[in-house]
Amino acid sequence: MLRIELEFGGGLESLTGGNKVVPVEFSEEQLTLDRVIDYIRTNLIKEKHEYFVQGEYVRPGILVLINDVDWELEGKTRYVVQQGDRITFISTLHGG
Amino acid sequence: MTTSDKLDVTRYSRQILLPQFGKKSQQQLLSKKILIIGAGGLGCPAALYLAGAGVGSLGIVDNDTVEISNLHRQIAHKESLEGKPKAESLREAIRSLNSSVQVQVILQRLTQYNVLEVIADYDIVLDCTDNVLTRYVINDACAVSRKPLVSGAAIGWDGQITVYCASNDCPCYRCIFPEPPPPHCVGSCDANGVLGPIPGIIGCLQALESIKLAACIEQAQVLIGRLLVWDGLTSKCRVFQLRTRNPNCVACGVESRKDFCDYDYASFIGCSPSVCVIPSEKRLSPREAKERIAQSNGDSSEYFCLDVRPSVQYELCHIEGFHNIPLDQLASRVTEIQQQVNQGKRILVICRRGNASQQAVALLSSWNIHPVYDIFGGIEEWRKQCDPSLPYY
Repeated sequence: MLRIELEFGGGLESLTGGNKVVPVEFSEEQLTLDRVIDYIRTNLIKEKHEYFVQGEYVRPGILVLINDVDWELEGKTRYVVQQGDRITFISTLHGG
Repeated sequence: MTTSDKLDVTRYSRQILLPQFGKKSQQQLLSKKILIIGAGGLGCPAALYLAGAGVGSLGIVDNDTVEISNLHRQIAHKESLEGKPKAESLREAIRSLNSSVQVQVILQRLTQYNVLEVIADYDIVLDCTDNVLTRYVINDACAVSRKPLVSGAAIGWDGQITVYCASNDCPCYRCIFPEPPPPHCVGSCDANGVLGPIPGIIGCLQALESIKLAACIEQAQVLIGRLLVWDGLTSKCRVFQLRTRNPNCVACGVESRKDFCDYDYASFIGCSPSVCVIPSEKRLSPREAKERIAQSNGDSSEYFCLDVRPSVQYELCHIEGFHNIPLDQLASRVTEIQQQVNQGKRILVICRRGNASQQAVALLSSWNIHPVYDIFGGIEEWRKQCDPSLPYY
């Protein structure tokens, strides 16, 4: 059983009913981050999917972080999720 | 030692006392020029702290005027200066805090055509603006000129800050966000609300990072390649590690452009400033709409009046007789509207400024709901034409 923590910020928490932290469990022994994103898209988010994805991909303007590090440095969707990982999705802000 | 030197030491003594700062850093600050773009919620605290710290010269860019609804967060402005240019108002606040700081006021809107010239004179640039397009324009100019960009943003309860273009490895805004967010995903303080201290905190952090850069403090770690995220609702602060500079970036990469004068920002951002998506015969002015409603009077009204703003805004103020179905609930509540049409009613749609109502009319038309009319200019225009007692927000 793979237990990880999903985190949503910068307004994205509105897609998960205001929950900023969502613990999830996967029965797979091994899975990559694209599967986690697919899980969020199909199971976690009930409406307004266009605020999270464009097609299958995380929409522009969302920063994805694996244990506080930009996913670009970790292989993006090919990253192999580890027990206890914290995956953060943050929408960039523009107000001032 | 001259008198003015003595005065300076007295004024800045509390920061000169810091072992990491000292007189050397103070002299560095006095020799620096810093540009603050946006004299709003971020720009006000940033400018005041930089002036207080004794930065030699500050530039303020803003083409907006002071409104009462700004004052909860833009605390350098005064009630008595309502309607006056924000940049001039901020200059007055800086002068009364520290008259030795040189201030340049630039009352223009920053565009791809003037940005390189505007930033040319300055050592550091602060992005304190409130929209996606200007953020890319500023980033691209700083990337091309290799100028440190201290970028802050705030909305609702959330704030973010990082520093771009400040070293060889340091990414620019485009390295992190090569594509802009879709327009429907972009919020603003005007539309979504913001608690005053949120931009206050981020603006102060922008001043702090700028001081660390400008004063060349050796022991300081600047937010280069790191993004600080402040969650005001839970009082949690996080710092994330960002990717490094992208060598293929169009703005800061190896073969980047020399300028962005011919770049098509409107297409890149995917929007035009004033949206018009529906034909003119489906649009009524607030005055026409009000007359039509009055002619059809009372319970036997021929019209079903729909207000598609978010519920929070509807509660803030609305026109009597208008029913609230927010735009994002239109699809799920379309049967309510269909029932009204079945009873022979015409649909009138209003929003805040006249963009969302057009989207609603276009959607309703695409679902074969007729007849449906857009009230152009929204509540704001209704206030001007029909009912000055409606609050401006």
